[in-house]
Amino acid sequence: MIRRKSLFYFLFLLLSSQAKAEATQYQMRGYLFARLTHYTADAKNYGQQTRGQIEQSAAFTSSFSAMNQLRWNANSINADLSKTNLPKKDSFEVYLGENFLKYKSEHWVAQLGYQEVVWGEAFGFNYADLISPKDLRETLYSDADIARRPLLLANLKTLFSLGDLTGSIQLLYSPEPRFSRTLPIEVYAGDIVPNITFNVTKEKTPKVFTESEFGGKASLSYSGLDLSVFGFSYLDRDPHYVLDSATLTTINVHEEHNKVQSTGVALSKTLGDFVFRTDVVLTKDKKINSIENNLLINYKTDVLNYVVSIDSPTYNDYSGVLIFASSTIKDALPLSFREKNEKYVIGKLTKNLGSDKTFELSYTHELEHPGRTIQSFINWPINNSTDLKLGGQFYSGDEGSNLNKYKNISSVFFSLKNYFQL
Amino acid sequence: MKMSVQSLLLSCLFIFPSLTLAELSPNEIVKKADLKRGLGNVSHSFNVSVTDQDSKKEMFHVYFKDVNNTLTEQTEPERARGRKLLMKDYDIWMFTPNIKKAIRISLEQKLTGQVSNGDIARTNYSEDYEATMIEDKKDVENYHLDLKAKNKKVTYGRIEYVVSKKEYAPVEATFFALSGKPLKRARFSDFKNIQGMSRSTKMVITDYLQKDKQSTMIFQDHKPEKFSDSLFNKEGLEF
Repeated sequence: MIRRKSLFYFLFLLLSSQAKAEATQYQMRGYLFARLTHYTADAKNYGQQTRGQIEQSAAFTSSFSAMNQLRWNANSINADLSKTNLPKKDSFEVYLGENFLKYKSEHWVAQLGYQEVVWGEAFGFNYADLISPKDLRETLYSDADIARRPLLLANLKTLFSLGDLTGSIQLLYSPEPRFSRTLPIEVYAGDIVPNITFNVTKEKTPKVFTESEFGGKASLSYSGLDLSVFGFSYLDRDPHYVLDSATLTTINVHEEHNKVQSTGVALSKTLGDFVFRTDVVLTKDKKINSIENNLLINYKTDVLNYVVSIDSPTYNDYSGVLIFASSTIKDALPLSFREKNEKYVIGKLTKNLGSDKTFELSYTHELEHPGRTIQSFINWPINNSTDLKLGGQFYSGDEGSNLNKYKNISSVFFSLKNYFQL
Repeated sequence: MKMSVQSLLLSCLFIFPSLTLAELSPNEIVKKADLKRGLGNVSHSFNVSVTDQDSKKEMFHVYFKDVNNTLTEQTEPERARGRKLLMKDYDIWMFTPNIKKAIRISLEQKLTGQVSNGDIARTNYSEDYEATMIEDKKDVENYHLDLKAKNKKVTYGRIEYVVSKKEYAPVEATFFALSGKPLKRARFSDFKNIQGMSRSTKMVITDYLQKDKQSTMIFQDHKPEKFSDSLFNKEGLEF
């Protein structure tokens, strides 16, 4: 963390001094976001969230530039994913966003520092979005940039074109793996081990250069087709839990993250006015928790995830997307913390209301253990710098369904997001 | 005798210039009109402002390498800054900073207001449409042309195009969907001398049915410029 702060301060001072010298193209911008939420499930409460980001960027020459971000998030949660009606819980965090130096030549781009890298062609379930850790406390419907966290990376990409064919080869190296912010363990284990209190000791992020992650992606685009193959060797962003001690009412566990390898392919193709997209990702040696002989165990298995989707063309200001997503673990013990198969169908309809106003309606259906969620909202840019959003999201399902686990965050919400440039 | 034939032909050129102009084929007329709406197929950049009926304004910077390689980057309003639209032949991708990956989209998707992606990124009608002349006895000052899409990948199925006979300047265009449904009408105006030629700098697009829905595009700051191929690579949009 100290090293991250050092990099931030270094970039902050560098960019600020350059800006004062007026020798560069300098920009400072950001956003402020506020949301009021009324939770409608068992815990009928109100929540308030404010978020913000300040970003400064500077181009020192046509090839050399830097980016520097600071983010904060204040949250007053009166309902969350726990089974109980929690008392009011305030949280506040300030953290560093993307902070990197970039060198760009005619055919090469190199970025060094904390950055977010996104792979994959499909939406809905971003299985190919392997690199950046996520804040899993954000919901299925949160904006991707809110859930994503930066990772320290050396990111090298070469771009090429051969006639009508264009493509790239990207190489990534991270000396400092980071983990996702996870949901409470009860979300996964609550149905298997009811009426037990879990005490979880988090695993700290490894010190720089004690662990390393690396991978690459090769991409081609040709005549209506985008294709990429990729691989990444990394510490699992999600933890598995190891038993420390247990009593009749309490289980003490600690988190561990083991090394996994993911390989995959992503493709998108225009079919007339439709766009077909798919991501397929195989992850080897992922550790899954289970209960066996009344003991908490973990075991290694392979996980195959894929998502296919089709985007419709716009018709009378309406457009739609249909998505199918599947996640399967090769070997599943009976009391595993996740099901062998998880399958979802998502339908999304967008109506353009004019003047950049949009109405969106999404429905997600879980197939193995029937569950469902619906989200609807209106996004209304009320002026050049402010967006208003009004909507609701509702989760329900059978016992055992994943979507039913989110029922306590069923809510209606109102938010404002203001963009500014200084 | 030889001299006198040449003299006669030259005299005809001066006395009846309209006769020689009329010999241009409909496709050649469209090609000439294209040059009045941009710098043709010359590598250049320019800025476009789009203002809708509620006075909401958006700004774009366009990198035009040739008719098959165009990159449009949004610069205003602040919420949309950094959005990019890459068009390569008939392939089109959009990059938004929060999603952080370039996604393939279709050409007919609306960019903003009444403006489709193709209205900014693919403006040379002669490349995409086959023109035939429509006779309009009432309007003697303009050519009336019927432009049919050469393939189904283009923005519109058909365009009814009005071009002035005097300077081959575009006057008006009515755009139709592939289904034949009329979509919108555009009027071209504000001709200014840019890079040695008179060119239209204003395009007002009106919805065909809802006449109050209108977007005004102003083209400015045309500048010849060379670009590397990697600028028009989908994989480079994130940088």
